[in-house]
Amino acid sequence: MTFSTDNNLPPPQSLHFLLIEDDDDHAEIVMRAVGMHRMGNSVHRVADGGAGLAYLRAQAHNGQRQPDIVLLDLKLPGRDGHEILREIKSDPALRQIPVIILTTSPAEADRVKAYDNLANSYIVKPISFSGFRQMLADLSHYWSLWSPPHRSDSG
Amino acid sequence: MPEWIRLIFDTTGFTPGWDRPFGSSFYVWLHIIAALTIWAAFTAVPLGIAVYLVRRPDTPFPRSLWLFAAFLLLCGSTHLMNAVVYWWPAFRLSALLRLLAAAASLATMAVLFARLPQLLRFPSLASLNAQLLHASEARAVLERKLVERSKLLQAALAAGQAGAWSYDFSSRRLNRYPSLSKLFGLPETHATETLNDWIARIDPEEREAAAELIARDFHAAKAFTARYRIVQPDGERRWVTVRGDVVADAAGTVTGLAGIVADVTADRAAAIECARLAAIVRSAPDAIIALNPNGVVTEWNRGAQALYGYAEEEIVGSHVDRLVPKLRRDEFRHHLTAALEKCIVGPLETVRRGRDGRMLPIELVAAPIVDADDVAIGVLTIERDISQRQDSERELRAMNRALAQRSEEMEQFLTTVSHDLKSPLVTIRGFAGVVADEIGPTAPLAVRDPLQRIERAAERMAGLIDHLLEVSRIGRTPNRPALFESKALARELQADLSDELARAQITLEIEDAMPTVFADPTRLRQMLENLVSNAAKYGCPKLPAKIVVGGEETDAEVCLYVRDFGPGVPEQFREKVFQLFQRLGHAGPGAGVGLAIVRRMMQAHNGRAWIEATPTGGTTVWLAFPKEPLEPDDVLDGQ
Repeated sequence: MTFSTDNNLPPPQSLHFLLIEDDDDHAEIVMRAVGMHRMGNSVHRVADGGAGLAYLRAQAHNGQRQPDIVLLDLKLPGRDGHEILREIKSDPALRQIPVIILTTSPAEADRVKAYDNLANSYIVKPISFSGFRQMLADLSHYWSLWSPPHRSDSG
Repeated sequence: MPEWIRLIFDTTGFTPGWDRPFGSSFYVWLHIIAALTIWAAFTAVPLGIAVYLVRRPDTPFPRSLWLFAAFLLLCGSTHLMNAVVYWWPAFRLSALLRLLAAAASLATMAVLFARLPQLLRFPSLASLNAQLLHASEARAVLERKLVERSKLLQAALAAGQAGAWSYDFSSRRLNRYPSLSKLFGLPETHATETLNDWIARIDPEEREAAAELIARDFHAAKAFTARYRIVQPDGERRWVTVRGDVVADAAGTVTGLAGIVADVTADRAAAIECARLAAIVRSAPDAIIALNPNGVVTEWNRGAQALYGYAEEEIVGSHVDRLVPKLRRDEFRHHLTAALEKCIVGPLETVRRGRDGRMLPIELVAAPIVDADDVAIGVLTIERDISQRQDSERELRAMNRALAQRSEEMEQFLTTVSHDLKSPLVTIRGFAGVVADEIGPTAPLAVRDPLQRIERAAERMAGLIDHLLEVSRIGRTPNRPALFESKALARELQADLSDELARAQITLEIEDAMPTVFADPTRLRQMLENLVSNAAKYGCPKLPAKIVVGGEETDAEVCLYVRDFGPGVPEQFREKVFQLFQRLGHAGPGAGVGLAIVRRMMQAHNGRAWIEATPTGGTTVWLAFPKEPLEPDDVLDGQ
């Protein structure tokens, strides 16, 4: 993967991710992919949905930086990913945060349900490491185009 | 000659009349001629009376008239003697005749006075005339009545499909009236015939026995009834009842027999039908109960006795409410009213109470009983014990629930297993990627290549697990089948795949005539897509190529096919390719689950899938759907 600067795009912004994933190995891979392009991306990882929601609400409450993207596993201990997704998307303070589902389930039912609950993307694991990294790079590039004001000082 | 007769005719001492002084001979002749004329008249009148009496023997008082004739004759003879004595002076004879005439006169006078009161009682001629007139009028009335009666009789005979006959013992002939001729299938005329003609019409099977009975009845000359079958000239057999009674004259002498023949074929057929229905009702295992419009039981069969425990004599005449629990009475009254308005009620499920007080779940149908004028005169209900059915329905529901639960558990198990199987693959592939990234594109191929192989293998294995899960789900994910046009589906598929196929230089053709199919449209679409994709992958080695989708209908099945013109599948592999993870060689892409999925889906449709060689070379995959859906309700609910 290459990230070219010759097409006059602004430089990619650093992004803050919330990773909700119970499997440590999978979390490690995602964190490596996120950190790979070394542009100040940061990841907050929690192992279950409750902790993820608590983090999001605490950040909102304390006026601290919200994650730019939530990476959400479906199969989680306790409340599953579908429920967490529904909760995020029904909370006015959180619903604008893009949520990408990262799951091993290719089932049509899961995919339909996720999109019904306003998931922004649905990725079936295993995904090629390099491909995933490419995707994250493209996303951060997109964010730089969007350039929300609250991150203008953190670039 | 006796002495006294000689004495009478003796004229001794007398002289003929000429010797007596009558004056001139003119007066003598006048006397003689007048006497003779009187005599002639006095003789002619009795002759007339005698002729009359001989000709009309029924004249009243004939002996008196004979006496009167004799009196006239004797009076006449005295006048004759007045003339005779001029020539023959038989005064003694004359005196005797006068004596006799006097005696006859006295006798006649006596008889006349004796008869006078009787004679006076005779009606006068005028009154006789009046009576005659009256009698003839009465007779006309009688005749009119007779004609009317005869017409009535004919009408009655026609209405009763009967014919009249009579038999005369003296002539030994049978009178066949037009009505009977018609009944026998003969021209509708009056005819006479013999008993043998009659017997010849009886069905040969019973002719001999019937002939004996007829001979007996006719010989006995009394009222009789007989029943047998006759054969009409056209060969049609009719059942008839023959009734006869004696005909006697005024004196009471039996002169013959007369009677009617009634065609009872229809009655017999009706009676047989009635008996047949009665037998059905009697032997039916269901309770069959007839009610009058007020709900009183009028008929009660054995099935009803078995169901409710009441014997026929216990319940007939009682109100049916004895069977209906209180809470169901309004409901039942409603059904009864509906049935009396000539609706057929049910089948519906309700509850009845048996003789032992037990509540019985039943299925009920109520229908009106109508008379010949289509007026409802009662209600027939058919009731069936459904407690067993309800038990088995409950059992079935429980089993279905258990099955659904098991199915759900299985689904969860499979999801978990596939997740757990895939999870390490995610790690393997992910870290292989991490390592490849760490060593960078400049690392030796000897390191990068194995890492790539690890990544590919992990990916492939994840794909296999996904497919396995998908195959296991087929048949458990219940999409309801529906009736739809397969051609529309094929066209949809053609549109969706058009870009892809155009790039691959493959044309997808759809046959003009495609059948209507009863299937799960989503699944069928998946199958067709699968087959078209298979055909594109394996059946089109030489480009540009063609794939054909078509279908046809047989008696029992609706068949669809996807046909390519590629290398074809060798016969020994045509079954094998339907197995999981079977591929012909490793040349092509794919996991090798496509046909296995198709077969599983067809099994879920109770149908078949198989491969044939395309006649001109290539592969044709057939899908056959049964025409009779397993659950007919689905046709209604499937939409």
